[in-house]
Amino acid sequence: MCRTRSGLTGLEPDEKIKTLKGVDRREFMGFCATIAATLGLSPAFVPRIAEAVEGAAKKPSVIWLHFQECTGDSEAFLCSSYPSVEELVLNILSVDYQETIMAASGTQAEDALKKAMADNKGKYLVIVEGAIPMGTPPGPGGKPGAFCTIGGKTAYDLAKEVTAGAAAVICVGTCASFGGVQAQRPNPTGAVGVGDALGIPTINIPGCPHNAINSVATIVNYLLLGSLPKTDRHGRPLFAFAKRIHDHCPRRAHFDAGQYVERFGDDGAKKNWCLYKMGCKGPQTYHNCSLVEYNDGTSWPIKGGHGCVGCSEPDFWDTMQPFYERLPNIHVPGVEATADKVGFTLVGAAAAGAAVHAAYTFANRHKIGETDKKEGE
Amino acid sequence: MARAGIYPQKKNLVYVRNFTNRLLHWTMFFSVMVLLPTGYYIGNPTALFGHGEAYNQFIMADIRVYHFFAAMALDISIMLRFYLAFFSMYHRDWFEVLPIPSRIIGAIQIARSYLTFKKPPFYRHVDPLDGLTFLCLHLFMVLQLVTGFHLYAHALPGNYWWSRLIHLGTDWVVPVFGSDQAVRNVHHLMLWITIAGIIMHVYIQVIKTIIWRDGHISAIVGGYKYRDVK
Repeated sequence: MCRTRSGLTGLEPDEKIKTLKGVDRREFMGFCATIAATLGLSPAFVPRIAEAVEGAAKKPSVIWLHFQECTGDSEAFLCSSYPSVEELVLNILSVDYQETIMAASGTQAEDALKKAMADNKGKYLVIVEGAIPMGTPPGPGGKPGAFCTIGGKTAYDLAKEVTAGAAAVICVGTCASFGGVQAQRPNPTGAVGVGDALGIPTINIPGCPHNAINSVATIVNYLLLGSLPKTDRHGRPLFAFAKRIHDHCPRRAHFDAGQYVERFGDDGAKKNWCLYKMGCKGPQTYHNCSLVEYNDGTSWPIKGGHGCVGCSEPDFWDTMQPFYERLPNIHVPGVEATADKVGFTLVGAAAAGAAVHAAYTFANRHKIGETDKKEGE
Repeated sequence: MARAGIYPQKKNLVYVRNFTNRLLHWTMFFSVMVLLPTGYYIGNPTALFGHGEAYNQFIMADIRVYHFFAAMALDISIMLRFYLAFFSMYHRDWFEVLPIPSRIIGAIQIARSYLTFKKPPFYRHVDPLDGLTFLCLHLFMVLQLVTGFHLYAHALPGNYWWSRLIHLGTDWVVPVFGSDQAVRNVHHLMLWITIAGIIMHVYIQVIKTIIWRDGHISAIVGGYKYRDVK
């Protein structure tokens, strides 16, 4: 789907690569306008973005590292069509190392990584996908971080080595940003986000998967201004993560009107009512899904009738569970109860205590008013 | 002697609560009366409302606004109450709610008097059991204030000094309780703790008024209560 918009579909594979610069001017300006909108810039910036993207004196070298992840973020990135992935990988950026799409393998791949690091020292961008395990595998010979090794190096060592000479580290996806699903309790591999593992500042673009428009916009921001976008306290770029899903939700009118889906498939669901009571985490999730949607504006969870699960929030696997309940269970050891049940018990205990005391008082009413001889005044 | 206390021959009027004190109490009362039902609706909106088209009704929006207004009234009166507890020109009662040993003993004595109907010593302002209960209740209210402001701050744009201030003042609740969802749970559970607290508070004041005939309920309305003449 995404390739059909690139204007290159009719060409032979080798021809495509030769004529990448021949991408339709209108499409290219469309890309620049999309990026300007995502970054919150005025239309006056569109020609400057075009210049920055086209006329970069030297294409920035990008090293893309994979650690504990599902490659979903690469998939999301590859499905970007403004610009197309070919344009992005070969013309705008110089993606020198990307395990999933690179042609080289084995020693050649390792050499490409070393060469990219040596040639662009201090200037290359590192994009990381996946969490870094810090735990030690049980059994003999287990060394710290050995849950994930690439080319004989642990993820931690590799990340430390590669990020040492990087201009910036961009974490795509929730795994690289905050640890993701493998960092869920009990977190057997000791997985943590890249920033936490290495103790370095990173640009985090969480999401499961991340939205390719946000990573592309971050890179364009870097090309345009030579600096990285401003971030919030979790390292997330403010242009994409300053507002909640809830704030721009197309179903917000139904939230304010008090119209809620009670069950999946009920009448409210058919009328696209608010998914608040189905456990939608939009009110506590900062992301721009409700504005840009996924896969070039094709759809996103709430458009499909499913509540937000809060995938761009730190530790969302732990903190947002259960995904389908508004007020989830309170975990008391041995007992699980909702806040309301606990509350009813408390109120019931208070009322029962009052009632018992009232009955007791009534039964002993003849004693009322005796003054305590020892202590009373 | 046994029935003498019900119809005491003589009582003196004692001024115990000034106007500000009473005003703050009833401000808190009315704001809590608004906060409880609106808060419950926000946490668990009933399907009774909201039929028809969305364009002309704002049930959740209105209820949230009432909740916020009442919360601000409560927060301001709590802050004023804390200020007056330390700096009031009339009566500084912060020391009367501190759980020092003598007061804990006094509280046990009063709790015993509820069961034995022996009248405890006269306390002009607040008796030790009430003092400890109010301390707990007010700390709960502060917790409710902080968690509530944290949930409220979700909707604020991040780049104003006042929203930064709210974030600065309330963000610590997330690590303390574990997650945003836990903060929400605590805030919701406090609804029930408040209701339970109100039941006990009202019952105890009614019992005191009926059994000891010292006008506890009159005091919060008119400012005076009774003291037995020796």
